[in-house]
Amino acid sequence: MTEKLATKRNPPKWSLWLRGLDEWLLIFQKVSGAILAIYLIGHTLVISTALGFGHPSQLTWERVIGLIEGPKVVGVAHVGTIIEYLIALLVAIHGANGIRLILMQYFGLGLPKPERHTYPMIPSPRKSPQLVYKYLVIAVVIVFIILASYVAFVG
Amino acid sequence: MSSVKAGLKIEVKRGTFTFRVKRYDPKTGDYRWSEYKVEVTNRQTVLDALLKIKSTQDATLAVRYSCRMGICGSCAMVINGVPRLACETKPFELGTDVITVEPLSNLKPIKDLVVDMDEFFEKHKSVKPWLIRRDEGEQFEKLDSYYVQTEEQLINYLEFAYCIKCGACYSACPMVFLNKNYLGPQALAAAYRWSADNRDEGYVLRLKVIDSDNGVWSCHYSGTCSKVCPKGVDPALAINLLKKSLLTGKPPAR
Ligand code: SF4
Ligand code: FES
Repeated sequence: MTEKLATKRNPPKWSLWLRGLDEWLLIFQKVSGAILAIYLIGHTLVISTALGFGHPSQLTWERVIGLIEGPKVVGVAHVGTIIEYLIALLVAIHGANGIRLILMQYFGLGLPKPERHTYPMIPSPRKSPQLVYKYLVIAVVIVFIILASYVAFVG
Repeated sequence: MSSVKAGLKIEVKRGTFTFRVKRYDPKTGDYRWSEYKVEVTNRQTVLDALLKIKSTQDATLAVRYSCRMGICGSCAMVINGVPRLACETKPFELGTDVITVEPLSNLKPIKDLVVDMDEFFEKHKSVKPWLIRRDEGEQFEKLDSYYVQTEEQLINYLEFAYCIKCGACYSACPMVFLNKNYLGPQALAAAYRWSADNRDEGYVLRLKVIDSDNGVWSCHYSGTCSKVCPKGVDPALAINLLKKSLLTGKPPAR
């Protein structure tokens, strides 16, 4: 048998990507972005249908929105409320993390200056300004979850 | 006369470790695992252990190395799930009795732990990683003047000049996995290294490669490259600085 050069790359180590906050933020950012894009299309279609595609009537609005809202599940929350609640959570994650990336990559806030380093050196994602950013993102999302839960299920 | 300080004791510990090595067979095109038990001291590295395996247990094991001191960048491999230099990683410091050794991800295998670095070097080359002067005559013929550089100017790029092209960052990058044509952290760090050098005038020439879908815009900042780099190069910082330069229209500070 002759030896041949491989055409496929060595497979990745998934475990390497599932243990850091930066990697998880990246995963959340991508997944929430994709779901939000799909939701946006669905949302536009539903509202357009409810508005009768340019011929609004009270009846179609109530029928379509009633269908989407579904029955009540807990407290004042309908099935629709829960979907909206989950979407709002994704918006919070995507938005907070997005602002972090914009501030950092556009304005350079929190980026260290290159320096003459000694070993062991701390990579920039592990330096304090960037850690503050990441914990802020998490804090904002947690506060948002608490407020959103109150509005959706209690208020 | 000995240069060892009086009273300084060097403690040598011995231990037996099991090495699980993932091997690529170019004849069948398949991977298989081999297991070896080998005794090493706390002063020896994974590379030492692999070479010991090669000389005493299995001469067919393929490993690439050269300097054995973290300078040449030939021996990067995935050790216990993380890309590292085999010659700088000590079995005793890993904290596990079973040590898994695999070839670098995101690169094509040649045999066992040896990977094909061609695409990696091609990408490196594509960012024109050399000193470019606007005046070609000056660059190639009149080599009679020195370019002055201050300490501050040196520090603007020094960190990124430590790269030994080992490929650890490239192997760790999730975006290199998703986009086969992405230049990767190493090439972009090199692009920044040269563009931030006050003697260089080639930033505009590099822009076409850097400012593209396969350039910095394929980076989604997982930061894994910087965390695995054995030389402290911090490619993620270089890429973020490049993005900042592109978004604000200001060339790298130099
Ligand atoms: S940036 Fe670091 S990890 Fe990447 S090739 Fe250079 S030395 Fe290796
Ligand atoms: S053998 Fe040269 S870097 Fe490890």
